[in-house]
Amino acid sequence: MPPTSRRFGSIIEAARVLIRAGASTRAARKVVDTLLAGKSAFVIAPNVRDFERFRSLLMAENLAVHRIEQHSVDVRALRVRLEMSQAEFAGRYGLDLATLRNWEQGRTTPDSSAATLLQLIERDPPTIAGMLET
Amino acid sequence: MAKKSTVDTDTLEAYILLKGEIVRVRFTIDDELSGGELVGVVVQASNGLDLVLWAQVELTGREVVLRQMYFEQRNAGDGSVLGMRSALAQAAMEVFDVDRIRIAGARRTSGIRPGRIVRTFVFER
Repeated sequence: MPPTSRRFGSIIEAARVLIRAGASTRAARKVVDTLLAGKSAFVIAPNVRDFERFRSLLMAENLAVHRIEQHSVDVRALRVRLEMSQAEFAGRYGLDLATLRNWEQGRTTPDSSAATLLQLIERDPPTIAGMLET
Repeated sequence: MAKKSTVDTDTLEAYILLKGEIVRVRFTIDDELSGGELVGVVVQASNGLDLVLWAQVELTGREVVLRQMYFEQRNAGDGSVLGMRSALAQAAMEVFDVDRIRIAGARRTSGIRPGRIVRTFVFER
């Protein structure tokens, strides 16, 4: 969420928009602090139903918004599509084998960082594997 | 001298004498902006001032410290906070029943140079 200029509209109103979108008060405040420092900010807003409205409310305060949407990846289907064993998949993408098994068997679900990695793997497996090679 | 009264559970009211005129000031806790150590307060005065404050609040004895306070005037030009700062602080001390307010690290969020950190202010009854 970068500021479109140094002249914000109401930064506190922007914080309200984030809080109504499901960000915690502290997270919204952190966004405000970061924006006022002239940097871009990242926030999780789980209650956004209408992204265009959300965007327009923040645009009204001179803030540009970019969406990063997460969806759950079917890890087993992805691995099977890549024709890899669990050990190969875990080794290739730097994952813990036991954790991968837990995901596949539904005992646990990937946290947000792991979910992002899985989405990247799903999108472009060889590039991500190449980037992880040392 | 500020005089205190209560409007409702979240709104506290005081009257201040400003340049020979009696001005009513209302302080309302903004629940949406308040959580944990963060407290939001809407300050509205009968002379047109309409201000939102958002700060980390620490109460020690009869002193309240407002850290990293943001203040934003919602109706710039109607009633300037600059000429009312001391009177507003007196009113706030009256309604919140403290003897000293220290404002450390306040930032402008509107007007000229948003983000600029304002010097520390101390107000005493």
